[in-house]
Amino acid sequence: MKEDNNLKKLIQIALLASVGAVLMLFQLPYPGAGWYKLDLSDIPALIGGCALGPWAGLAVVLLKNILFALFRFSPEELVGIPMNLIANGIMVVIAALIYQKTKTRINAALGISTGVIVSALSMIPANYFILPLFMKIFMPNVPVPGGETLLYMILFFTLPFNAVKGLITGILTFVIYKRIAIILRAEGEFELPAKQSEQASKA
Amino acid sequence: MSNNELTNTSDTPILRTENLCHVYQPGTPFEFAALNNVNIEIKKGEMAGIIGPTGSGKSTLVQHFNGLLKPTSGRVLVENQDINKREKKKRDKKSKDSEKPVCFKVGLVFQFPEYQLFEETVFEDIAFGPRNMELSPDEVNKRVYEAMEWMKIDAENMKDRSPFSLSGGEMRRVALAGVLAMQPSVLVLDEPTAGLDPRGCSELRDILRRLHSELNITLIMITHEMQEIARMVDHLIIMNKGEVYADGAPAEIFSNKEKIEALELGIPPAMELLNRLQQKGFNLKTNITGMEEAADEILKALK
Amino acid sequence: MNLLKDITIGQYVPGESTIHRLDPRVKIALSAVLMVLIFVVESYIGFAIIFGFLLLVTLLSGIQFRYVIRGLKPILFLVLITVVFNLFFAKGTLVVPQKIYGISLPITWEGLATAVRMAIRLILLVFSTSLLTLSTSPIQLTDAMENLLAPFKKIGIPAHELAMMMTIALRFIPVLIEETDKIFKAQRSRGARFGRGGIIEKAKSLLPILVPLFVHAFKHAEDLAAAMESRCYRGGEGRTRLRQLKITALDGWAFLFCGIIFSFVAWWNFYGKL
Repeated sequence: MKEDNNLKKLIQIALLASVGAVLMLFQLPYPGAGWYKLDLSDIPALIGGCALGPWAGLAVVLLKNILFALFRFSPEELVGIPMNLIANGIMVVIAALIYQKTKTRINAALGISTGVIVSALSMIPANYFILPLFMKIFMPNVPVPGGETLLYMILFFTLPFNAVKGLITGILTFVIYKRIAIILRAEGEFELPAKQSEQASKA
Repeated sequence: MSNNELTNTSDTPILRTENLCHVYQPGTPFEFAALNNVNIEIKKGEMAGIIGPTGSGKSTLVQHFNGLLKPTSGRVLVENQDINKREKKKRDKKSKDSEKPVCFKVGLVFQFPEYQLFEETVFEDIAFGPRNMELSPDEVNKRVYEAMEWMKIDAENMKDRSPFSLSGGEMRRVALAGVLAMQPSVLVLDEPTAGLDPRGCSELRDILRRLHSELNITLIMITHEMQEIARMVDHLIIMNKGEVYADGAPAEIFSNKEKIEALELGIPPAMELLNRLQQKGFNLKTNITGMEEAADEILKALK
Repeated sequence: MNLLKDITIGQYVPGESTIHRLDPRVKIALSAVLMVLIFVVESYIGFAIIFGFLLLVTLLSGIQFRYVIRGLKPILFLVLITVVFNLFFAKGTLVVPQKIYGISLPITWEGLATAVRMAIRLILLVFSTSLLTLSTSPIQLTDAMENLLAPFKKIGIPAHELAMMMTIALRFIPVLIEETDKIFKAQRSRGARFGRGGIIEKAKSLLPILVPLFVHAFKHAEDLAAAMESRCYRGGEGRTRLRQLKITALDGWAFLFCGIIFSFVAWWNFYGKL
């Protein structure tokens, strides 16, 4: 029944957001900048998008960020959260749209890569506009770097970090999704440790 | 087959703990002494069972056997080697983190092991353990196929399938194969038959028995199933509140009924029956745990 | 990695104090007003009054001060950056001569003032939001959110569904953390090593944990969906609740008290000195 599928979808979104929250605890140091950590919490949203559609993926992004705000609220997250909403959101929507067209492995790879690239690129304008805003609020008399300086700052600092994070997120998502896709395809018949339906094993 | 005979054992314990203590979160308000001066000995080739109420420290104890947990004080010795002792010889930087081989002698299988599956194919998943041991690809191959044979996994059909496409019972066997492929001398299993239907249970028990008798693997099982204990175990350890409550042969331990009931643990059904019959006036021995032997004993008493 | 078990989920410290018993919607609303106030206020006396107010609330809540301090740790870096930037890069009239010991330190009066104010603001901000999350359980916050968003249902915001998803997500975080710990132990027992090598290797080594984690998550979703359906869950329409948010006299007093304090601070800010 459609109702039942909707309920299950909502719950899956919630659980994916939960995984996102848990993944915030796993941090990897950036190569070359070991003090700065990246987290893997963008992965569940991407998986949600591929498995359940772009709206579902966006919902995961939103929920994860709300959870994050509940647990670790600090003013710097006023920047971090919108940034993540944009970055992860774009990644998820693009990947989901491309993959949903035809659900093949190639399309998944294509979708995820495109999503990651566009997302990283979108951080350029995003940072360009949000960073000055942030500075105006917290450092009102400090001259805001504009134009070229700002652009260079973004290209040299923020872009590489975003690119690396996106790369790792994308690769891990693809690998994970490849393995668990069989569970998701089973349309609700996946149960552990009871018997699996025959259809799933033929997938 | 009498399950009270010790088969294939020698005198040196293959696994031994000396005054093992483990405290969780020491120095915090959540400090908790999970293990208190635990001294046990497991002989090579034994089939041992560990039982006890929840929170008695069973899981904590077995996690010390393969070095997953380090003792707060005391020692854990596998084949007479302290597994936590740092090796004195110089190690080069690359092997700084390499797992000491003695840790691989004890294989630990957690409850619902099917949840540890993660690879793309059954083959790859079983190969994970051996690969972590840095064995040659040929050796890895060999071990994977051997393990599959032991666990009655049809290699040709299954090796390239996704582990997530299997039934629960099959997944469990793949998970076990993954640990078996590491060829541990001691296999520790936490509730091996949890969640299996009766047929699955008995199939698994058969496999474990064969591993024990044919490969001479020392088996240690944490279980709640009294029947399992009755049927399979030579050496029983009862844990309670982080200490060893009882340690010996099952028949002896179970004959001390009050002691068992104090912990709200049951005794094997066969024994329970014998006890009740004895109370009703039948003249029979009650220190028997196995079903068949109990049946024989009852028949004798009826003559 | 046993620290996974030690992580306190969120900041909530359970209790029965006056503050704990306030309706969460009231707390959210008052916190929001306070946050705006903190940003608007320039006067130091105003800051002092707000600080005193927050101390009073902390006292009333029975929550130990060290929990509040813990909330401040993450922003120390931010405060430092803000102070440094404001101090050395702001424009205005110089405090000290251009060069001291050959190093130019263009500290301006304006920069100094802003630096101090901003630092105070950030601290007060975190203080007040910490108090909110320390004294209100995530479930209460979710209920409040659902309630506050309910009027927006008309423009298509699915308040009930969002709140339900939040509640479910919150509920499963501790479960997933524990399961992650078990997965970690099981894979370690198979010889898995984490955190070795370059970033790509490190990421790959996490697969034995990540894949099972997702498997667990979907399994939970499966079970929960079945459980909810078998209890005839039909969504938010016409649903009644066991826990109901009620405004009480206590909330009325809180409104009054805060109203007075906040108004005074605002008035002083515009008409008083310092």
